[in-house]
Amino acid sequence: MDLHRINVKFFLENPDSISGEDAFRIFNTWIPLTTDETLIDVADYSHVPEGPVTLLVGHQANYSIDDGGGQRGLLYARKQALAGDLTQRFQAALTATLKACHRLEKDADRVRFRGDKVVVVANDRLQSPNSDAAWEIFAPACTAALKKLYGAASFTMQRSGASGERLSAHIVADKPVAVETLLQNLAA
Amino acid sequence: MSANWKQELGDSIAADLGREIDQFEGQIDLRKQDKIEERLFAETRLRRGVYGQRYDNGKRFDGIQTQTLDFPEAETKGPDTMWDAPGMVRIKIPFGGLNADQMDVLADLAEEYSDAISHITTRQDVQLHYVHIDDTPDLMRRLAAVGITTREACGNSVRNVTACPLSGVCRTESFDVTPYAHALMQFLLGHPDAQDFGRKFKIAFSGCAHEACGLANMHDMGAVAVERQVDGKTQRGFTLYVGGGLGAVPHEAKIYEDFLPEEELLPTAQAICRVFARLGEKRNRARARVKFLIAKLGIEEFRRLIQEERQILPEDPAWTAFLADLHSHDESPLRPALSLNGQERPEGFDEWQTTNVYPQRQQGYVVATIALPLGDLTSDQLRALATLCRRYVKDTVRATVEQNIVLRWVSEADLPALYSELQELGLHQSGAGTIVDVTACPGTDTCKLGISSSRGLAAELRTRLAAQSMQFDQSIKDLRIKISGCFNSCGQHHVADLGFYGISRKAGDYNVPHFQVVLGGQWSENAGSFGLPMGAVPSKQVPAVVERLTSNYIAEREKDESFQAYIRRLGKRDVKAMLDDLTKIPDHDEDASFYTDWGDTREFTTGDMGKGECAGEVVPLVNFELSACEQEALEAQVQFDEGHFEQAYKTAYSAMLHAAKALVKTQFLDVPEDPDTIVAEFRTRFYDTELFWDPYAHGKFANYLLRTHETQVETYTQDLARSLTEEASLFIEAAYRCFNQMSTTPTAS
Repeated sequence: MDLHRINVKFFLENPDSISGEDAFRIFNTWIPLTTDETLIDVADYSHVPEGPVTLLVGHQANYSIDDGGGQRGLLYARKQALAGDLTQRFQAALTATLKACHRLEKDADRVRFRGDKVVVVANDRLQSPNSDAAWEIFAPACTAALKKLYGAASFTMQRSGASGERLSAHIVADKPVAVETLLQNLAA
Repeated sequence: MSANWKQELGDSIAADLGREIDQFEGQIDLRKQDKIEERLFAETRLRRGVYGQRYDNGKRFDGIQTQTLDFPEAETKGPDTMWDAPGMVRIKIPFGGLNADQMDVLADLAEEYSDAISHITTRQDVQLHYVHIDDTPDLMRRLAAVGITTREACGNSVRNVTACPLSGVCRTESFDVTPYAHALMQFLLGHPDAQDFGRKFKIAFSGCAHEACGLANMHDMGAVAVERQVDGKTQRGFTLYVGGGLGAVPHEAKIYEDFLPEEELLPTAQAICRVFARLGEKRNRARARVKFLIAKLGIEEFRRLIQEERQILPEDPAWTAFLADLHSHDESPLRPALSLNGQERPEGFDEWQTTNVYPQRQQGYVVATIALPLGDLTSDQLRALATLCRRYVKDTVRATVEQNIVLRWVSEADLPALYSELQELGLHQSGAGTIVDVTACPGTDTCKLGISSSRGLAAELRTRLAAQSMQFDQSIKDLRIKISGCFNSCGQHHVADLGFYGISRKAGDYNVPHFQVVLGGQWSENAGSFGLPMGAVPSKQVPAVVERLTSNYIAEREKDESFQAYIRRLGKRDVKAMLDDLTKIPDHDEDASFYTDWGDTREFTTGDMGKGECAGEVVPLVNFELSACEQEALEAQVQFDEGHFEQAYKTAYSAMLHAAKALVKTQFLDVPEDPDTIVAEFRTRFYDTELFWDPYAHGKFANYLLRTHETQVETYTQDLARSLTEEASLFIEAAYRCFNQMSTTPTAS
């Protein structure tokens, strides 16, 4: 499965801990300070319900404070190719998302993300259609990445995405875990 | 699993659309190899709907200083336009007509290539932002598979043909203009006579003269449906307007003909295109729209030229073929016509019904408007809306110039259920077509020309006005607000009751975002008249300006006095005096908020503005055609490499023939397609005259074509194919040299 457009979303513990305007201000500071990827612009979509409230547009990936599905979180949307096999690509996307979560936690006092809940989406209907056959490839590769993410902690993964929607997985770990710990697990 | 979308979609893409997209993909590759000049490539992509966006020059002001954006790829996709910079794709939706499958695909594309937001424009297009150019061929293929093209959505071409979103169901129209809008769009799409403009050309249709819907008065060409009785029979036609336009200097359209019979619509449009291409300004981009040509010539002379051109047009069956099939666009309902009697009404329904529902002329059916804040909706919303369309109507959906979506043929009895479902999707906002329903162009959010944040202001006004809408007098509710980020009027501020366009003012060492206030424009009567500029106010004071103007209007108006009449009665001096205190800018230390724009947290700057691409690049038509020939020659080489010698030979010959035709067309516009005529004309005009003449090789390159044309090949050998593929490249190079030489050689006027 030549899937590179991988979306990952981690959720905020308290959805009110960051406003669209706060996110705009913080994302704007990231653009000149980020050297390992090209960040370009910030867009305000706070007028759209359950959408990307504030979007940080990048070349390699977009980041947004996202209200999709009615739950506020940080959504990472990979746009350019990732290196390695599918599991490594999932790991890379998880790492990039968590780094952004961690950065946001540092830049905004009240912001804390839940590490025990994550959604992974195959944002490519050609390479990874929402089919049983595609899930057969997606699931084991994603599970391998999640095992590294959660280490000893157990988790459950459920396929989601109705007909017409993208193939995606909802993952819930059995206990709370900090973003920093997850980053350490992935780096180990 | 397919390796690519081309393979996956296969036959579901019309052959001609597929070929065009393949060609565009080839041009992307050639540009990456630096084999196409950047201006030519810029206009090529613009004509494919692929537009530049703010910051694509690699510079962005972060609030303190301008920073360089470190894009990985050094190549450009146009002058000062970085390859990797995300851009906008404009998707043409003729007359705004959409079906559920198309909505699903748009939702998918926004998710996969953009930012999961689809934006409805003020000309019934859909725009996706932040798209990488490398993704555009697949994006186009997926659109083509559901019958949508991006071709000529931007650039110096005939743009989307718009029409009243109520066509066919309107209570006041003369007749349904949909089939005419569709036919004209099809006819002019890629038409050779519409490829050599100095600027864009916009067409709109309206079913009647009195409503606003078609906005015929502000278009390059506006067609308003009319009927007349001739010998007891009803004859259909159009009052044809020409030369309207907004922009920095708005022009009201002039009547070209009171009654243009329906069969004359297409040929007349073709004649207008020809005259515009021939006589329109090409160098001074600010005066290149057809309105300036008409102003220069006068409407009588313009009319005479069009009529003269019309007489010499070669007959085309397409002019009238569509008239036999006018009913192919007729719509039908999905659900029975039942009235809304005694049904339970969800909370908020009554207000929504008052503002968002229009009873059709067909008894028992209504048009329901989905009011979209700033014209935006998420992919989830769009996909869910497609599902609702399948449930309640039969693919009868249109995008509107007020950046909304309408569902037509909704059974009245279904309204409460529909409203409830829209409510779940967050698409139930009332106030469509009222003061709350603020329209705005993209402005500084994504447009390179934006000065002030039109969308930021629109969002702020919408929020404030929605909170008060219940208290508004009906005469206030009926007002319209339209906002543009700059004087170019994409937000159509000239035809709003309260219009605003972005400007900047200096206060000490700071730039301060401002809006010019334009009052008293007329939205009805097809954008009947334009507003008057009243002066500049800081962006942050615009909500207060709206508040003051509306409350003073209520307090001071004379009986039944319209807002336009009130503004005219007051005059510029009194209006300025009324707003005077709101024009003041506090010191930065006193209130720094004036120095940032709505929807942005950075200190305001105009330094992020770039060179706009609205005007496209003026590239002679022959250059486009020769570029296509180059690609054909390249294709011949690929065929040769793959061992398809006969194919390679024929493709190489075709490339030379098309290059010759491109040159002949510079002198003889209507050169027919057949090879004998093309070669004969080429020989007479370019070989015998020694125009196609190399200083050293003389007629050698021309002879490649002349000889090949006369040769009857029995066996397509490898050698034969190799030499012709090489000769084709040399011939095309010589064609470029010939044209360049012609362009620089002084001629007697």
